[in-house]
Formats: sequence, structure tokens, C-alpha cells
Amino acid sequence: MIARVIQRLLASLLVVFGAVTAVFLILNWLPGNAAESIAGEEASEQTIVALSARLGTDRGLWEQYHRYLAGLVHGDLGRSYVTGEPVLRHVASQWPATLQLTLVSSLVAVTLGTGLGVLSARFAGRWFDQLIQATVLLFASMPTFWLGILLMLVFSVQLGWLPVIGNGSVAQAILPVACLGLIGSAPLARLMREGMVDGLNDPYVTTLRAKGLLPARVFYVHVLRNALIPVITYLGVLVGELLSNAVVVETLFARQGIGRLTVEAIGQKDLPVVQGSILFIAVSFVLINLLVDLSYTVIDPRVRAQ
Amino acid sequence: MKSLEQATVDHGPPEITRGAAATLAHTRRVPARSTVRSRIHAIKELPAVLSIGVLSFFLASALFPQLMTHWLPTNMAANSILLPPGGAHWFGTDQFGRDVYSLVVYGARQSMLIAGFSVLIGCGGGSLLGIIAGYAGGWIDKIAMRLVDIWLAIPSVLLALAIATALPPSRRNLIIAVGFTLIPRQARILRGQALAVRSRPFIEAARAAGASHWAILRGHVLPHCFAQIFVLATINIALSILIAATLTFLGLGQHDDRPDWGYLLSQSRSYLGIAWWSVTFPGLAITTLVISVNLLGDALQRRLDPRRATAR
Repeated sequence: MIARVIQRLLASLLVVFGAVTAVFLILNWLPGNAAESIAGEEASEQTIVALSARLGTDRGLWEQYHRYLAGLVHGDLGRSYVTGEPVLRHVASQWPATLQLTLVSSLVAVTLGTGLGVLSARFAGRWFDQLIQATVLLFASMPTFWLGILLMLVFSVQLGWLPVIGNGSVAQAILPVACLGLIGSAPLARLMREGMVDGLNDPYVTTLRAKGLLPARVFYVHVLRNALIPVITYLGVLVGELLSNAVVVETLFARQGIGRLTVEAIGQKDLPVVQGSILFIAVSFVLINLLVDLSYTVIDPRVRAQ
Repeated sequence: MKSLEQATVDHGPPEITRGAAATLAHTRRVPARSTVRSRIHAIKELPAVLSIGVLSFFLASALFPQLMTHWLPTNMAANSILLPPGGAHWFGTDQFGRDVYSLVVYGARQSMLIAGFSVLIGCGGGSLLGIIAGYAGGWIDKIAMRLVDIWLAIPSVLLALAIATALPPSRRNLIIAVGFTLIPRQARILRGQALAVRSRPFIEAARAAGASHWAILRGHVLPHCFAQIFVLATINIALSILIAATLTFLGLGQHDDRPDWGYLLSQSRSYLGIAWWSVTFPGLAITTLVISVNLLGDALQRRLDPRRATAR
């Protein structure tokens, strides 16, 4: 088992290194001169040259990459083009807000998604199941930002129950969490329903029934537990989806967080900050997937036995 | 119709034919059951039929927007700012006095073009990578799958965001950004399919007969992956519409005044409190389009992948 943990850790490390390289290449290798776009169109040749020397973008790509990696090892993500402050400070100050938002909405998504999935499977083929499936399809097909706008429109503008934007109070967090939670619950509900409906046809269900177990116990204990396994696998993907949707939700609801930081940095062409935030999100995404993967060892006896 | 009736009459008295059919139905019940089944089938396919209708509307809007509305989306009028939906302006007007309905109609082209071409990149690139990796196996497969792992480590919206940031804003670059994020998932699924096909006996037979790898890939492996590629393509169209709308909503990739649903929403969201219509209809267009594509994808999957269909 320890060998498995070490193997997974090494694989994740490789993926993180690859992601660092990929993000670096995307942002630094692709066309588009950072100094030119920061200095503006009217800037003289001299200003641009001086600016690129200051930003370090006049060096070769390989040397920039080298310096970036060396910095990373020492916990240095570079400095913001705009404020001149270390990127790490920017990112770290915004990170807790995003983490909080993502975790709370994941909880909402999982509760709602599995609940709807179980109900849907319980009434499979009936109108209630069809209603749930239609709702799930709607949430799966909606852009996150539009759901956010609709929630604002109904609960803030029309009903006046909740504040439109901002962060700090719990009331201000309700709509963003609802928005992310609803979007995140859709694939989970589908997965759960499919797992349970498929599970009911498995041979072990026949055995349990033949044994004389109550149908409710078969459904809510045995089939449910087995259907949860793919849901747990999906948790890793879900957190990634919610982290990237947080970019939209934070911008829309004017909340603090790494997502809004990223969008603002993109607007200002502040590439080190963009790079740092995306890396932060990617690394946490990899870590969560690693955790999910390792949790299998505890949850699924078939994996434990290997 | 007439000739058909005549034909039955020619073959014998209709009473006897009807009676024979009735006996047949009574003893074997085959015709009766098949009508019920076809009726159930028809109800099941109703969403797909509806979605084809909706898609045709959007396709017509994308191809001939001038036939769908007599307003021009670029038409700004100071005397018709933020008018609620009504006779002249079905979906109302926005803060520049533009007709929202015509903006929605003209925006269809942008959305469908981006979705179509990015799926071409995503499905094409992903299928190529996946099929070659799955068929070749060994170190090629290992390297390709590690690459896919890294690709997937950056959540798709963020990856598209990074690429769209690095490239100058244009529709072509938006397509590239969205298309590249679709590649890894496509590759992973098709690699699995190719791996499964590779071990089937007819591949061995083809190899024994002296077929080259290229011929086997083209003639045997690829045809067995078509069903999967089609289903994934529809799912990816839905996904790419959503990703592209998100990017333009965040202000990326937009460089001219071509109507774009996501960009439209980002412009009009400041008027949320006074003009619900200008934020409702463009979003409704995106959602309706994506729902239709998803429904069509479900129907395709039922048709092309009977194993999953019976399992449900």
C-alpha cells in the first residue's frame, strides 16, 4: 500500500511539473509582447526596450524558464508587472476566499446531486424521475454566469431578499454558493441515477432479495453504497470545475478571490499574476485528485486488496 | 396511396387478408407488441425531434440572419434605449437602443462557428492522439497518456482562459483556445476504444494478411471508433458553446462589434435592475442551443451504443 501511495505521489509530481511548463509556455512562448501591451500603443521604442529589460522578457525563452523554475523551488512566483509585489503574496491573500467558496459549494453540489440522483433512481421511469432529469439537463446546459445573473434578477432585484454583490456577510455568499452548487450538482445527479439504476440489475441484488432483505434496505444501503464509488471518483473533477467556475462567479458577484484576481490580471496583461493563479489552481486540482485516488484505498476493498 | 390499395385488392379479397392478420396477431401477438414498442420509441425520440427543430432555427439564424429579423444588430437608436419587449421589439432593446432579438439572431453565427471549428480541432486532434496511442501501445501510449494527464491538470475553462490571454483577441484565436481544451478528454476516451479494438481477432487477421499499420488504422480501427467520435462530438459542441460564451463574457477574444451572446451578457449585466430582458434572452439562447445539442447527443448515444441503451 505504501508503494502505491509513493507511486501516486511521484506521478502527481510529474503532472505538476508538466503543468508548470505548459502554463509557462502558453503565456510566454505564444505571440504577444508583454512590454508592448503594458506600455501602450503610443510608447516609444526606447520605453519598450527598457520595460522589457525590467520585466525580464528580453531574455531568451529558455533562460526565462530556467529562472522561473529556480524561483519556484524557492517559493518565488515572480513579481507582478503592475504592483511590483511578489505574486505569491497576491495569490495567497486571495486564496482562502476561493477555497471557502469552492468547498462550501462542493458540499452543496454533492448533497443536492446525490439526493436528486437517488430520488430519480427511486422513481425511475415515472414523471417525478423525468422532472428531475429535465431539471438536471437544464442546469447542465446553462452557462454559470447566466444562472448567476438569473439568481440576482430573481432574488436580489425582484424579491429584494439578498444583496446583489460583494463579500463578507453570509447573505452575500448565498447566491454565489447556490449558483456553483446547482451547476455542480447536475453531473453528480446523472452519475448517481445511472449507478443506482444499473446497480439494481446486478447479481448481488438478486442474492440480497432472495435472502429476504427489505427492498428499502437493498436500495438505500447496498445499491446506494456501490453507486457512490463513481461519485467519489468524480469529486476530483467536480472541484476542478467549481474552481474554474469560481473565476466567473467571483467576477460576476464582485467577490474577492483568486478567480477575480486572475480576470483582473488578464485585463492588465499582468502575466506573472495570471501564471501564478492558474498554477495555484492547477496544483490544488492535482492534489485533490491525488487525495480522491488515495481515498479509494480506504473505501473500495477491491483496491485495498491489490 | 391509390395504387397501394389497388395492389392489395389485386392480390385477393381484403376481408381474408385482414382476418389472417388478426389471427396472426392473436396467436403470436407480434404485430400488436411492435406497435406499442414503436409508440414508446416515438415518445422517447420526441426530445430529439424537438431539438432538431430548435437546431434548425439556430442554423437558419446563423446562415440567413437577415431573413429572421428585419432589424440590424448594429442599429443604435437614441430614442429606443432599454425598451421592454413589445410589438416592434420582441425581446426589447438594450442600453444602446439595439434590438435584442436581432442581436440574438445574429449572435447564432458567432456561437455556432466557434463551436463547429473548435470541435473540429478538439475531436480531430483528440481522436488522432487517442487512436494512435491506443493502437501503438508501449512507450508511445505511455508518453501520450502522461501528456493527457498534464493537459487535464489545468481545468478546461482556465486552460482556455490562459490560451486566449496569450493570443491576440480574434475569433480564430478563440476557436484555437476552446479547441485545445477539448483534445485531452477526447484522446483518453478514444485511446480506450482503440485499445479494445486492437485486441480483436480481425486486427490480427489483417496483420497476418500483411496489411500495414496505416491500412489497419484507417480500414479497421477508425471505423470502429466512429460511433464514439460522433457521440463525443455532440457533447463537445455543447461544451465548447459554454466555454466560448464564458470567455467572451469575461471579455476575452472579442475584438469587434460582431454580436456575441456571452459578450452581450457582460455588457448588459450592469442594467440588470432596470432591463431584465437584455440579460435574459441572450442567455436563454445559449441554454436552449446547448440543451438541444445535449438531447441530440443522448439520442445519438442510444442509437449508436446499444449496450449502454439496454443497461439503462
